[in-house]
Amino acid sequence: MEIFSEIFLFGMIKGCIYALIATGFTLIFAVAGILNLAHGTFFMLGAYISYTLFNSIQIPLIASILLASLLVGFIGIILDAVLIRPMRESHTYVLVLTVAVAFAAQEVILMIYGPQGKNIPNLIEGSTRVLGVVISWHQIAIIFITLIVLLLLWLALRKTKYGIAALALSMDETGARFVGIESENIFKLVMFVSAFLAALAGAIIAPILSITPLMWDMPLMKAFVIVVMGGLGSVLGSVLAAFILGWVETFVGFIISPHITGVLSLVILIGFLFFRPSGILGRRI
Amino acid sequence: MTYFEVANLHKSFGGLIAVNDLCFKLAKGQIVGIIGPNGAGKTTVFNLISGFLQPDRGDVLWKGENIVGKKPDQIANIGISRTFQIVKPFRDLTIYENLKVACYGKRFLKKHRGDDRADDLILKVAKQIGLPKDLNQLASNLGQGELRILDIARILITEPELLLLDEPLSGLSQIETTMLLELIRKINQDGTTILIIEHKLKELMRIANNIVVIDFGCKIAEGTPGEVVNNDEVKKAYLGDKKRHAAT
Amino acid sequence: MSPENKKKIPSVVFFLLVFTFFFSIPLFTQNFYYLSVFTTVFIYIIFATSWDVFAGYIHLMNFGHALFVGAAGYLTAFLNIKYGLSPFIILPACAIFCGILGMFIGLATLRHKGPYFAMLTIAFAHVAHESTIIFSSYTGGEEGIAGIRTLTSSWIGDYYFILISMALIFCFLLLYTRGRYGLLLKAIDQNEDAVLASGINSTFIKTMTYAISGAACGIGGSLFAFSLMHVGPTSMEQVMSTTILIIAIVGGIGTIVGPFIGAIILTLLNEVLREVADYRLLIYTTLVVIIVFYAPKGAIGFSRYLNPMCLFDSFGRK
Repeated sequence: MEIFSEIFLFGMIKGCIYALIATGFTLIFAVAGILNLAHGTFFMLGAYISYTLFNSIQIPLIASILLASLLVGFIGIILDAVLIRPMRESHTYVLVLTVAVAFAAQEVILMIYGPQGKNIPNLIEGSTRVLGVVISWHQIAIIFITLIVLLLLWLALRKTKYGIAALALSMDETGARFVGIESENIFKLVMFVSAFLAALAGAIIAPILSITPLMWDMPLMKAFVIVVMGGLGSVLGSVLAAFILGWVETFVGFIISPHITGVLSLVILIGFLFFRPSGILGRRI
Repeated sequence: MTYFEVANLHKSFGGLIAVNDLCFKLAKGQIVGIIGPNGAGKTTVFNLISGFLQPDRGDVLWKGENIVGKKPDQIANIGISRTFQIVKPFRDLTIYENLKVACYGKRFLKKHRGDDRADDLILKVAKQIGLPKDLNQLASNLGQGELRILDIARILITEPELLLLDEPLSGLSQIETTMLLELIRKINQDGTTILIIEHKLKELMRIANNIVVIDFGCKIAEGTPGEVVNNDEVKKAYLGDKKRHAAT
Repeated sequence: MSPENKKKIPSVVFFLLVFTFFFSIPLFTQNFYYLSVFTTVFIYIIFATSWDVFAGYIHLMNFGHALFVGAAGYLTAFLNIKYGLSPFIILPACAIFCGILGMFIGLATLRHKGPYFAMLTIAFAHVAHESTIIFSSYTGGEEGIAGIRTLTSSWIGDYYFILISMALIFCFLLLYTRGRYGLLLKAIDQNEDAVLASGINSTFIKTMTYAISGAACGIGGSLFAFSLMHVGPTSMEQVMSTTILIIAIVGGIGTIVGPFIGAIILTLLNEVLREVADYRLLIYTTLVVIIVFYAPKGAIGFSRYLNPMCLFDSFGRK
């Protein structure tokens, strides 16, 4: 039946965006032990900077998106150096500082761009039929981009020196330091990747959503749910959970109502923390 | 009725058996030492007795009553108190406040109604045990030995009948060790039964009536200090034995 | 302990002066605007001090305190408009309702560590906020519910009603934290195992304190709804929760007195900077970052003259 194809495809697209948002969030928590409440801000900045690069500086869209994501990656490193690293011992203060950054960024963006929603065009215009469902080429592009990026991430974590170091740090920081792993550099790298992924997500979904100064809220809430569902600390778990959430939300959105998907995901969060805090997969990456 | 008994206590974590069908008894007024190589499961036994961990099976019998399943605060309130391997002071509170916390436990409140008596008792215990005179200084000012005494002082305020001490002599200087041993002896003379985990065997043997030796979660020997020291199994456990380790 | 009593006097005097000032304001001005500025101060004092009694002492950051503000607000609207009940019934009802709500949330969330707890508080507040939109037929949706009757028949009456409520709550929280519970909360924060080993049920204390935090905030939320004669989803927004948290931190967490002063400073600052109201959130967030880095004890850390420590506990510190 057509509706199941729709749920499958649109759920998958949602899952892609969620996966990009959540893997970064999980990585930071797993490796550095901090909950970055400014993570949604990276998502938002990815969208806004792409918009500016494309509209004001006339850089081709795909380049804008990539460049924006890289820039936000660097912003992530700066954020870490200035605000997070000095306070890394105190998780409490990191929470407070990152939420302050999130709101401050919202206000600054509001001042610069105003409250009206902005738009950028699709990467590829037009649509086609897949599995009997009308789907835009841009949405297909989202799927491809996500799969490629996730694959690269997986390879990086398992095969490169830095990735393995990050995994080691996530399991036991002291032990990892003992064998000579430079945790500071790895933290910076993880922060960069985390911010990059979130920004990329924000940029590629921007043609479909509207770009507003409040758009950092949704990705943060989804990140919460997904990392708990996937097991805080498990990147693979987060990816799985992201897609599951994408499908569940799309399903509920079609069958019951799209208005309750926000609450639904948070109820799932609360449910998991009650009954299964270790998530679907547990602690391992 | 045995005063205190651990019967077939068993705890495993995943595939690792930490405490393996352990059994031993205590008579009232004894000082019993628990010794064994590192990782033998001694602190786990304390955690199981004091309610910080729940056993997979087995019983802990206190004056005939099975206390398995009780929460740590409940166990402290029925007369069994414990210290920890790593000192646990309230660092940003003063010595006085550290001790005052113990005055809000149910056991203390039942025995001493009215706050005024609490202050007297705190001063008395602090003096007896040898804490620094200035009770208004922060606990973070104190040295390792003083922090250990602080932990014990806090427990003493609850007037326990059975005291579990987890490596109380660790990290202490020679003088501090001697003083603490004296203190333990005195607490015992005042009527408290004591169970001590210790690595400093020489010192432990001086005050213990009985020793229980644990390795790989099992009791491998029990007896007076003299008996235990000459026991072959015990020697093997500490010094290592090719055959034993190959079998595991 | 006489040296302690000597030091206590400046602090007590300070607060007597402050409250005398508050009580006497209507004698100098009956201007609605000025009075409402101060009632807003009083209400935020309730919000911030109620936040502090739990989060400030146990150092579990509660990012969703506005949940109680909104819950109490909607209950107030419901009881006042539908049943015409008086504030003397509604305020205790809100306190009880929010206290029970706090108890259940506390039981659910308190066994989790810092990051999980923070996420849960945000999640609960968010769910409540979105529920007001989803169930808009009951809650009036984005517009909220208007038409709540005033507390008393005059602005001045309202002013004193809110001031007295705030004073009572403030004194209650002060007494609560200066006695056994404040000490135990601090001890639980520093070493929960040692507290358990002393025979104290730390879970009970944490849950009870969280419930009290909620109940007190509920009273504030109800007064808030009365003073605005309106309740809406904005009372439960993340911005509100974060603002309360910032006020407490800027004032100085873990003291009750700190958030009291923080609320005064920031709410008055808010009024003074009316023209730059758009920048309010930016100023608050910048301020909290500065405080966290350079003055973690908050504004209260500066009042050395008062030697605030002595009002902070009855155990005689140097």
